[in-house]
Amino acid sequence: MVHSDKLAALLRLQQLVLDSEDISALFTTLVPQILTEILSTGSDYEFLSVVFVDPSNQLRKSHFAEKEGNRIEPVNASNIFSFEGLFQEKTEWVNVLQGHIAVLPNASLIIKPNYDRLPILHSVTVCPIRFVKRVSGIMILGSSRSPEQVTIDELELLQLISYLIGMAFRLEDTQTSITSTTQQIYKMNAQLHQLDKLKDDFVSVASHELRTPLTAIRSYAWMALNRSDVIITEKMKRYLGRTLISTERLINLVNDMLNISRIESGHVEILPQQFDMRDLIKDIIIEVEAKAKERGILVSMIDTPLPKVFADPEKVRQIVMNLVGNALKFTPPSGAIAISFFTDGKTVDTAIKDSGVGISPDDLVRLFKKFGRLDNSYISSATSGGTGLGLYICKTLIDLLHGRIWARSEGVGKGSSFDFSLPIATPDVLANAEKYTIKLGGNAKVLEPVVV
Amino acid sequence: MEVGKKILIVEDDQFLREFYQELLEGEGYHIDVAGDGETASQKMLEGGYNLVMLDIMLPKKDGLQILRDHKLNPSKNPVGKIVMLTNLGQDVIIKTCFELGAAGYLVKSALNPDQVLQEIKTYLKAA
Repeated sequence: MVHSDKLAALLRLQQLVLDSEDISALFTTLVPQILTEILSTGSDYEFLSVVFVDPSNQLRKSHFAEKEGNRIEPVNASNIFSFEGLFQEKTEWVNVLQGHIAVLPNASLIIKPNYDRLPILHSVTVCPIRFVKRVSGIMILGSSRSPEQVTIDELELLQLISYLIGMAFRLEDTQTSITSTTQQIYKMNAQLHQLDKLKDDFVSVASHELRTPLTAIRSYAWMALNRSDVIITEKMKRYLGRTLISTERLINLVNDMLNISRIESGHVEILPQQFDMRDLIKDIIIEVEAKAKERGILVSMIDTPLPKVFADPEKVRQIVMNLVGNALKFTPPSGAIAISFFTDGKTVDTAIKDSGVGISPDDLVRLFKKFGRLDNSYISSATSGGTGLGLYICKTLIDLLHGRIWARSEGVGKGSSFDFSLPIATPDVLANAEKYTIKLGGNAKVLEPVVV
Repeated sequence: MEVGKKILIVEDDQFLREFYQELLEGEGYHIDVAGDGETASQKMLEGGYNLVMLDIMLPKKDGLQILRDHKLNPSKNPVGKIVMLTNLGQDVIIKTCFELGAAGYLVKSALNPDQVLQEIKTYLKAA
């Protein structure tokens, strides 16, 4: 039975552990306090030391406290103990390693001869400290009493104290690993940020550097075709025309990839406002009229009364231009593109329907993926300047606008319809305008890809 | 008739600079060129242009700074419209250019030579 004064001492020590604000410095105050408490129960010891080792029994850290200690310098336990023999499986230690207390008569076994109190020591009590199911340290107490004079009562208290130390050590260990993990996370986070910035910078600079020579190639191919001072043959015209178209395609690809990189890295601003989809579509029809006429395709809009939508008009314009552009590419001459609307009171759906080549059901799902261009569209892509990224950009943008995009087709040869929905500018939506808005941070980069 | 109108082309890429020069001279314009920001600023200080086509990323002084300097230091002879001709397209930059007095913003890679000519004609007409 542990006496009440010992129990009280133990509780005070436990409180010290629980109240400790700085776990990493806990043992510096705890170890001397343990000695004080043990002395206060009437057991006489010259010193108390706590030594921790790692799984390979290498010294991890140690603490040391002396009775009536008047040493000013903190004592380094390795100056007092000969650790070499400390954790080797000698007969005396087997018990300790198995988790039992040992009271040894021969102090010089583990204490170096130059320790000034060695001559008065007649017993050394070694108590294992268990941590995660193994002995991870020991508590050593030196006494001027002989082993027979150390009572069972005392040992019982020491055992309990060793549990407390094990707990405190575990607490410290956890705290240390949390701290170091946190530091690692901060460090990795900073590195990731830096990598991300490097990538963005690279992409931006590469974009500009790529576009300059590409523009030059296109410009000179155009000059050769249109400003030549000799008559160019049909053959030469074809060669130069294809150079021009391919360069165009490469420029588009560079622009698309930059746009994607910009959207994916969150460097795109969404500034929604209320507007009528019909106005936007009318503008676009005017813009593409010449090109459509050239191809003999009629582009029309079916005008129906519509509520205003709440979206970033510039981004919607980009989406529609892409969809109309596709419709023009994949609709044969004398075909038609009709743009119509539908509303259910929550969203406005815009449908861009063409009488073009159509899409097989299997292919419908692949459309909005990166480079999801369909096999049968490769033929036209060589001449159309397509990049296989357009619909993916549309999908990414429409997601940012809280809308949806999908495609319909009755099958190959039966035309297709590309539809997208946008939220209506209801009072409810307007009240939550910030939900629909993405603003860039103040540190916007100087070099950003172009939205074309 | 645009013949006789004077245009300053500020472009650091030699091939592109010579291309614009040739293209526009072919249309009968008088062309002056600058390959870096400082030369551009000096020429603009002297003035006497109906139109300035101004790149942004330039050695020695960037296009935005040229606009700022032009605003602060009046030219000896009139300078007509300043139109940016660049491959940069960040919204912030476009906005800044207009705030600093640019009359237009053209993205090189987005326009084919026909369109460049068309734009230039429009800006000269409006001038």
